[in-house]
Amino acid sequence: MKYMDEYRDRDLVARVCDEIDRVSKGQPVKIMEVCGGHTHVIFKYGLEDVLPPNIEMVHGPGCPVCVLPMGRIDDAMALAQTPGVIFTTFADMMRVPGSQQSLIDIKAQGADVRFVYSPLDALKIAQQNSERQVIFFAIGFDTTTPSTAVTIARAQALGVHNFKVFTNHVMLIPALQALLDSPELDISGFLAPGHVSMVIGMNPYRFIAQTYEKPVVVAGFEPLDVLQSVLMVVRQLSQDIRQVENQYSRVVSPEGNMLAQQMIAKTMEPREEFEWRGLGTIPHSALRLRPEYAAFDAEAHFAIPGRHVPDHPACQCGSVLRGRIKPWECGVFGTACTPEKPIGTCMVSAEGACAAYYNYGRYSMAREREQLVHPLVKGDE
Amino acid sequence: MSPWYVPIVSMGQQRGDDPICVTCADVAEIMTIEAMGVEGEAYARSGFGVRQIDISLVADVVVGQQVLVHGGVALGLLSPKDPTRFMMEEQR
Ligand code: SF4
Repeated sequence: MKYMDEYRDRDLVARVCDEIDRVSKGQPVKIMEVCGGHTHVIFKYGLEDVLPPNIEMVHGPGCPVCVLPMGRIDDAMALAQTPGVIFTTFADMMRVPGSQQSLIDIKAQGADVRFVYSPLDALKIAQQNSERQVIFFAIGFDTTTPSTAVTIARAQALGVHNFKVFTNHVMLIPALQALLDSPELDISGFLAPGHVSMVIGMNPYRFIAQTYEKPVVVAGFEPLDVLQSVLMVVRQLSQDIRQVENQYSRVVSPEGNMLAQQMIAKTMEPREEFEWRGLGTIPHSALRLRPEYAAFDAEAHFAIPGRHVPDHPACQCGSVLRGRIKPWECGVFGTACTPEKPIGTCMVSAEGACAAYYNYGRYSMAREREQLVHPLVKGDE
Repeated sequence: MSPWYVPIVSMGQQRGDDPICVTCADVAEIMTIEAMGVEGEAYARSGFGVRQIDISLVADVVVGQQVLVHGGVALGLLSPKDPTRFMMEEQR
């Protein structure tokens, strides 16, 4: 298939990996792929196993389901259980555990929870059920926010006042800034998410190269896209260059989608702060509806508990999301915590690092364990 | 009913791969514009068939064009010019 097969060529994969090996000269390089989509591709295609062993991929906080704190999920649950409400959300949110249960649990108990492909589908449900309040649980990074913004603007234009949005949209750049300010972070460079960048463009990443002196490459989602992007990071490091490069130029422009940016700015504004699972509270990192659109704001119309709920004590999603530990280093990985029975959000979404490791990562785990064991064995000799 | 799961394959079009939530994920689906609809809408085809999409955030869309769609809204145009491809050619 066009745009797929040509980015999956085995021979080219081998050549690009050889080139990464040649350019990196065995120097240890840690690259954070910020996006959960990249994490998924890396595991699905076993890219860690074809990369030279000195290249380590660190899985960042780019899965929107994974970074949403449990308190917001409990808030969603409270909204969904409000009498007369039809609660709509994306598929992955259905199984995310709150402190007591998930949306799928309360649906089984009788709550009217429906999953949708687009917020525009939720708006249609509101139009078809004018006597009931229809709430859309909006989550996602900068790629998903425009569809919510378009829907809010359309709801206003059509006067669909029984439509409400529970807004949890987060922004990638403040999260990256928080990560970069974390003293524990030990990363050589970043792969930036292709479709977030299709919306925000390349310019917002420039501070990473200029201030933090880390290479950034906006990467596509095919295996060769990811490997080519790794090569671009490694080349920058070897040539002592720090800049923002665009590997995904078939989609991403330097300025991004200006119409989408304008639509977001028209309907939403930054919150003072927002809690991220694993990263803590980050200022100006999430969006809420502008006062002009308060008629569609679920938070303005319903009593929301707004409690802070700590994560399960055994869950180390926070450390996984900051790249401090690998998922298998969590004590309950693959035992008490599995995709069928997740304890933490990183195991719920297929984009979550724990789920990706669980589903695809066994070989990589074996290799990492081997590398951990080898020095000990050598030391004993 | 629209499919809410498509595979993660870069922009997500093939059936039979493992499922991922298109809207939770940073996935954009390549769709080809089949017909223009009313007021910022169009009908577009992907591996899943024809769906109504919103095109109000992409300028100058015409029938036959490939767009990238996320959450039912077109967010970008697919450029046939891809310097990456030439970089790949260099590796051959
Ligand atoms: S394995 Fe489960 S409990 Fe452990 S960090 Fe991952 S999601 Fe959390």
